[in-house]
Amino acid sequence: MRKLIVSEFLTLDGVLQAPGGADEDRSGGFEYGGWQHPYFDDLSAKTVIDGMNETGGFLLGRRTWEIFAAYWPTAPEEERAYGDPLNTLPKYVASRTLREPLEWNNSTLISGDVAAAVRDLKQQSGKDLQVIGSGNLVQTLIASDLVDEFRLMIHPLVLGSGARLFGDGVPRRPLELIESIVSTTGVLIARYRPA
Amino acid sequence: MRKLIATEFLTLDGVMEAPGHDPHPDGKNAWALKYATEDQQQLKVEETLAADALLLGRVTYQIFASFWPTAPRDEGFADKMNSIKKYVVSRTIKEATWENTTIIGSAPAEEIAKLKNGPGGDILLMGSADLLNSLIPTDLVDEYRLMVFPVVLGSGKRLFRDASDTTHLRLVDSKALSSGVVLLTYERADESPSSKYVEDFAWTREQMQSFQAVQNPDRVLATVLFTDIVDSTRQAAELGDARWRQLLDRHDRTARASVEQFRGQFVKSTGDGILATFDAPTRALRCAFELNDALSGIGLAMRSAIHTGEIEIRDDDVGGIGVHIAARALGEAGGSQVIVTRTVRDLATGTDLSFSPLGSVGLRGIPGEWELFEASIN
Repeated sequence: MRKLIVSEFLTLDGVLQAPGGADEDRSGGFEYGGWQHPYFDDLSAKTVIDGMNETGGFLLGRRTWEIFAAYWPTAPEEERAYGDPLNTLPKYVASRTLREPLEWNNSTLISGDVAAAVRDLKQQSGKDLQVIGSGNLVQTLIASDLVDEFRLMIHPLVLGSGARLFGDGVPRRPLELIESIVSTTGVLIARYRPA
Repeated sequence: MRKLIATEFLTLDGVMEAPGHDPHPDGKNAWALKYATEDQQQLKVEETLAADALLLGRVTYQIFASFWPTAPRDEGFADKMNSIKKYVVSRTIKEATWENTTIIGSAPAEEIAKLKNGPGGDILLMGSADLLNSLIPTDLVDEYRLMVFPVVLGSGKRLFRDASDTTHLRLVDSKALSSGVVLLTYERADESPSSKYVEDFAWTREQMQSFQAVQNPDRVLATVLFTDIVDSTRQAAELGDARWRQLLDRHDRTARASVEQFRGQFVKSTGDGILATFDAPTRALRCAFELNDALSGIGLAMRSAIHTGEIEIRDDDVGGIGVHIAARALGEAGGSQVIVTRTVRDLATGTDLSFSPLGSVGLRGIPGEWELFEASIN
């Protein structure tokens, strides 16, 4: 049985929307896209890259998959440490609107019962599965109690609006802190698993 | 000046309501109690003993006022809580029975600013979710000490949810306690740090729209022509605004006429160039050559790029990957060149047309390698 790891960039007020770019996701009138850039340092980079190298496949929501599929196949050479795992490893994308065949290499559509499909994936042998971004999908995974580990990079920044990792109404869930370190830019990198 | 320090218990999802026995709207109270370890206790004692005053909202004040006067007197903590100067912000409390309390009934931000400018040591704000959230936009809070508990609650009053704008903070200390609680100490910061990674991972609107267009079933096959006046910035500077404006107007009229002549659709002017679509690649090519000639007659050099592919028709614009490819190909064109993709070369007909290969290039934001050619006419 393999673990499902949810890796997220978060603000101190728990926002996960559009860390990577101004136009990455403006839904809900969100204007702060790209907020994560100024805080990325070597430790952050190492954390992300190490996480990817331990990964057997990515589980992504439709929007995050589209953003990644538009960017990573032609990403600059110097970003290969991120691009290679993303481009080559299996990607499972949960969507009711996408249709196969999917354009991005090694992508598989999950169109039906996401929780059941994820349970099946977790039963398969192989390295752990990782969720990146995918704010909507994560709500389903949390509600179905399918997450085995949260890797949160909590940025010293408050936005006051935007989609959050833990939305209102998620079930009460005690966790256990596995590890916490701090980047040079004041990002808390914390790992939690269900207690 | 006295510092105002907000010291809070928070869940991992940012809830600060009812860490103890006080009521929670969904009955999820007392979430902090099982993590009460000695190291945590010690920190709270030290913090309180070091403080000079407490600033509280009505709800937290009433909880404290009903507990501390009769609390067990361990380590002098209860004594300190009872004797310390307390300010409670409330419009409804008229008389305070807990010793050494002052009521702030109106204009709390101004009153607190006055307090901070007055004599004395640091002021601790504990709990008091509504009060703290109301103070965040005022810049009155100098430091946040957040004990983040390893639990997700899903409801209750959150810290920072009334924030209406970006607040930058600086993490000055972090400490993991034996219970898995993380104590984070933040100060206000004017801006975010700078990072050598700033330029990375920038997804542009253009890339996103192009990609989404691929998923869109409403698209048509068309030939897209982009043009661009070579060296326009320098020419504009040399000619001056008025003359440059005249020249641009002539350029636009000439371009519209050429597009019409070759049965294309003039989509828009791009400032110093145009975007047009055609139903056949050969017509787009002939339009580009015609336009090159016409513009050189008025002293302008033009470069252009042509691609045939699927585009998405919008109200008065076009989009999609086909448009994106042509736009990117234009970036590869030098002065007076007509650059085409391989698709255009394969489809174009006419013995007077010739194509010389320019090699394969990656076009940023577009998958794959693209073979480009320079087109010429005899």
